[in-house]
Amino acid sequence: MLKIEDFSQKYNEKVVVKDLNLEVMDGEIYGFIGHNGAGKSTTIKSIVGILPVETGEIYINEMPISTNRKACQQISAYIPDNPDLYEYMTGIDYINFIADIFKVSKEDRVERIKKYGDAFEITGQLGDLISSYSHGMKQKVALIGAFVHSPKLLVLDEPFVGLDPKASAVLKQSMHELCAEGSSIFFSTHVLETAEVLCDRVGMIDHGNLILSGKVSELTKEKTLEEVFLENLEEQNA
Amino acid sequence: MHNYLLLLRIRIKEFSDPRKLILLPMAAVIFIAIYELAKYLAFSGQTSVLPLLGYVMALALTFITTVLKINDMLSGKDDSEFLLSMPFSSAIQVFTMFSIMYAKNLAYCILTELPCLLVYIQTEYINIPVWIIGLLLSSLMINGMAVLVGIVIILGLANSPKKNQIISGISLVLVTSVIALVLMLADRIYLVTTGAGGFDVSIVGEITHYFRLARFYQMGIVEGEITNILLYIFMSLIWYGVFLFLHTMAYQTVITELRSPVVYGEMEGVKETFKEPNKALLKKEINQFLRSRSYLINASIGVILGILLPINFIILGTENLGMLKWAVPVIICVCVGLSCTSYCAMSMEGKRHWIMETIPMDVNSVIKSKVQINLFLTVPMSVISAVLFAIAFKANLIQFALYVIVPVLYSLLTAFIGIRLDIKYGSFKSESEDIVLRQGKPFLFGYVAFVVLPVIITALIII
Repeated sequence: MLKIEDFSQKYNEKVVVKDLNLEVMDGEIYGFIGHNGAGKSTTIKSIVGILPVETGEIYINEMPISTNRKACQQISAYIPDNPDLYEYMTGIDYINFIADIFKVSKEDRVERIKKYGDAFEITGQLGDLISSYSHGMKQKVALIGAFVHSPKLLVLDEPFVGLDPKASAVLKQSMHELCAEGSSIFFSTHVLETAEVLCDRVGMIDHGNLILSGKVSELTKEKTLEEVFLENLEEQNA
Repeated sequence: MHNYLLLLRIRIKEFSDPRKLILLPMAAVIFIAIYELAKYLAFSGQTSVLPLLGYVMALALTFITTVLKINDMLSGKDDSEFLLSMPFSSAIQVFTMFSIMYAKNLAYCILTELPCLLVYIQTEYINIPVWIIGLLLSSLMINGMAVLVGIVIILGLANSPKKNQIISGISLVLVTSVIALVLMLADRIYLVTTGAGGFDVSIVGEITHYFRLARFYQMGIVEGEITNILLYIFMSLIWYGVFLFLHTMAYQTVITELRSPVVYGEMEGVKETFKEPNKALLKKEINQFLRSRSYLINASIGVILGILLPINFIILGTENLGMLKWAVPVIICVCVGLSCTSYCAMSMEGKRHWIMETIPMDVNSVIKSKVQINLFLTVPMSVISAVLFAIAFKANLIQFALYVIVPVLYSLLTAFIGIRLDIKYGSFKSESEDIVLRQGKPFLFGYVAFVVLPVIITALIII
């Protein structure tokens, strides 16, 4: 579903991601782990089309994003780490807007909004202005906006930050359900415990370099993911 | 005092943005324009009205700018709740906020009153220290009135689902009223200076008859009557003091009311109002424009002027204004420039730009929706304005065609150039809509240029 080949990215001549290669299969949850400033958000923004791909290529469902941007975006959804939404809209306005853009039928959107609205316990507040929402509520609305069009690839940047424990559990459950339908999820986090429990595979990035990638089950046979991460970091820095 | 200075320093630092330097040339143009107007009035034998005219213009400018910024001012800065939890008294926070507002209003007063004074003192006497006192106190009463009215309206509508729309509507009505009053004043000046209306009362008498506050200014500051000077000073200071006191008492309530979530109850239901993504985009743009007070009023000034000006000419009569007949397309083009929205349309996305960048829509579709908003405002306004001007000036067919075609073409030009300027020079990082609307290269090379360009081109052609 997602394939990144020889991808590099620069900001003001500084290389922030270097020769990244990774692949996310259909139905897989891939955790992208790294410290602050490692290159996670840059990679994610390139995947979803915010940043142009200048070196290498990123494929979504075998379509290169540099030449098929619209088609790639049609089947994917993105939630940033701090989702600023349209404050002048109500929650339901925003979700309807996204559903209109992605041409979601009325039946599907009614069913999905009710399902995720009830699961995130926000249905009663969807008629309120987004300007009145807390950070966590905005995140929930942004998530519903992503799930409403049932994307083939869901890209999330630090999705669990700001969510209450119940909402986190709901999100994890929803992610599993989406993958069971054949979709893939690529999300970044620096919380290793979450990645260990949730992900099928993980990749660890450090100063723009992918230092580790593999199945969680294999990486954590004898150690925790945290121990594996720290060991690899030490090797890199040595 | 220490806390006041601490907070004031923070607020002043917020204004150290170098983009604000762009406002200096604008200020210079306004200063020169008012100076030339003052010279014209002096030449027409109406020197006596100059200080009062400067004062009235200062009040109008203060009033309009206060209305535009009223909700932001009253709801405080983003750190207002944080400050409420700190040992900063409400009085300190209110006083700091209004110190900054006072400084801005004083700048407006200097911009309008000083050029009038410079012409006035060439032939007449005025006590300069007293005039300076008048200048320093000019904005207090009208500013206090505008903000108090704003508090009442905003608190009264605090729980209304349509609060923002109603306040925008009220702001539009207020701005329209002020523009209409300014036009009426201009008419009076024109009729008296040309003798066309056969008036033998002075403009000063007219203004002070209808505008009591101006009477204190004229009799005290300009004519030097000590009683009126003292009354003017006393009323300005007492009024502003009372206003500051009331605001301080209500500060916490105002902040809480304005920042509390407004709960509408159950959502209205899932609607499939638009299947077409382009229409969904356009609806989103329309809602953004209508629900943003600053954005709405900024563009509406041009539309309001474009409609009120020709109506004014219809009422005034144009027998002695024949030379203006050929300037009508330029006038309408200036109004088109004032109504431009595209120069900041992309930047208005702000931190939400990730939504536009990740939805499966062509960039051109997004651009088109923003340009459409601009055209929805400027093209109908151009046509209506052209029709009204044609009635006012009894235009023939060729003139009418020019009145319509030139501004409509200018609308298209400014809409497309504006959005291109914003794409090239705009920024998603601006912290508020006011910054987006009135600063930066798109504002200078877009909005300001669009207003000034028709005049410059016409002048070049004439020369």
